[in-house]
Amino acid sequence: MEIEIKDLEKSYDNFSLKIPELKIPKGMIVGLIGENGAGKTTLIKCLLNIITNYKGIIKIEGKTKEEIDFNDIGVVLDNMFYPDVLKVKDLVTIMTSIYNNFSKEVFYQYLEKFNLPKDKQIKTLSKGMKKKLELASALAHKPKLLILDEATSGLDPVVRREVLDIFLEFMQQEDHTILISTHITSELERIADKIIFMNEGRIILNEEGDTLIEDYGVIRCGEKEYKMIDKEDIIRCYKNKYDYEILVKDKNRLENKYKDMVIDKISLDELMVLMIKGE
Amino acid sequence: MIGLIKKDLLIIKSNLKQYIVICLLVFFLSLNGNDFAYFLPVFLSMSIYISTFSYDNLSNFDSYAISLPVKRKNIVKAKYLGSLLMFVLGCLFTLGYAFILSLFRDINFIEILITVYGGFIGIIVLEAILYPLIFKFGIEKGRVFLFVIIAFIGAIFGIALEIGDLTIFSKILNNKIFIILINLFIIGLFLLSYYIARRIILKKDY
Repeated sequence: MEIEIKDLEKSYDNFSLKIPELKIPKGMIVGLIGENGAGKTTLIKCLLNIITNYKGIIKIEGKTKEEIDFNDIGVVLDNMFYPDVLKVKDLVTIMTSIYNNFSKEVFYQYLEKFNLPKDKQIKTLSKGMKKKLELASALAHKPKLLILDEATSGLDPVVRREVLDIFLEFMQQEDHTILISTHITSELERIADKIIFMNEGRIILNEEGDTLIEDYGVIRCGEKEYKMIDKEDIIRCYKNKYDYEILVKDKNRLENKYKDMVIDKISLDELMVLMIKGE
Repeated sequence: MIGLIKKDLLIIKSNLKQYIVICLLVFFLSLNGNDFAYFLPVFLSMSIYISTFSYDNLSNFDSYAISLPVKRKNIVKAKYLGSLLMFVLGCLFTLGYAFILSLFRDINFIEILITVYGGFIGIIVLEAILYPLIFKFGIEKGRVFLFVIIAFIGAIFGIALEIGDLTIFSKILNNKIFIILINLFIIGLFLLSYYIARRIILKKDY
């Protein structure tokens, strides 16, 4: 499922979200990164109509907010789920009446895969188990679009890996799409086709995952080397106590240009820090 | 919408043991002749159903529900219909309860029906005022409104008692036209409340 955003604006007293244009094509895993309060959740809430009083146009699979079929969308939202006095198996009773295509069998398969007890109340589950339950319920109605807000937070690395494999399995269908917002950027490096980086309600970077890994780099150097670098080659520069960290793009060209300097690959974590803290 | 009503009923089911204990307690107390047990439908349908708003609020289900394939107006409809369903269950429970009680002592069934009817009017008025406020301001502030509304209704009855003219209520209940008018008013009030709550939720950001 494809997502299109045009001239999106949502304002609060001390924060505003402004996205002039954004297109998320179908068949992609798109990672949404940024600091707390960058606007990721506000954007997700706009996409899901949880926030409805916004300016601009959002279309999912060509349908406006009034026409979007939520049967095709699976969601895991941060701190939003069914009341925790319910039992795990109660979700089957509820969701078979809510979703057209909810599959009890698929749901129980995920419960088994995640080692989740079906007779326990949700409140007795650990944070990680609860997250896994949220994922199971998001996948059990066979969606075409997954919108995940901090869906892997609270999971241990082993389960996180399992979940990422489930995402990759989900993406075997050509028209499936995942929009995932997370603080754990290492997992995005592994699976994301595209990274959208938000800061203070704006998209400041929207790049293919491969481009980020291959084209972007960081030069760590002293003041003398820093002064030798052309200003137009510097995207961001962060001055540490003893050295400089310089974010650059077009790594191959710059490796030829600055032969005496080492341009390291950059991780998404480093990229986030440099984009926000750098000048 | 059915799924949301099922969700509320399952929440209520999760606390069923506590409600059974309360009912048994009231039953044993009323064996001595206290008839306040007939207010059970009022207690059950209102306070129990309002508790589902609290559970929704605690888990942020109200926001989550918007992301489900459920129209916003149906979220409101589910709460109003669920409340009525709970009231009907409460009435059936009261009648069954009165029947059991009648095995132990004399029961005036007409009196019970009048009590249940009074409870019906009380609930509808209270919920009709309260629900739009809960949808607008949330359950935390809604609880404060609940106490204010109960205090207000209590004050009216208190003043009536002070004046000493309670015969007006029995006169009303003996007049068929008044009864029809009251019923029409109650239905109108409930529908009006539903439309106000629907308007609120259609425009609300979570």
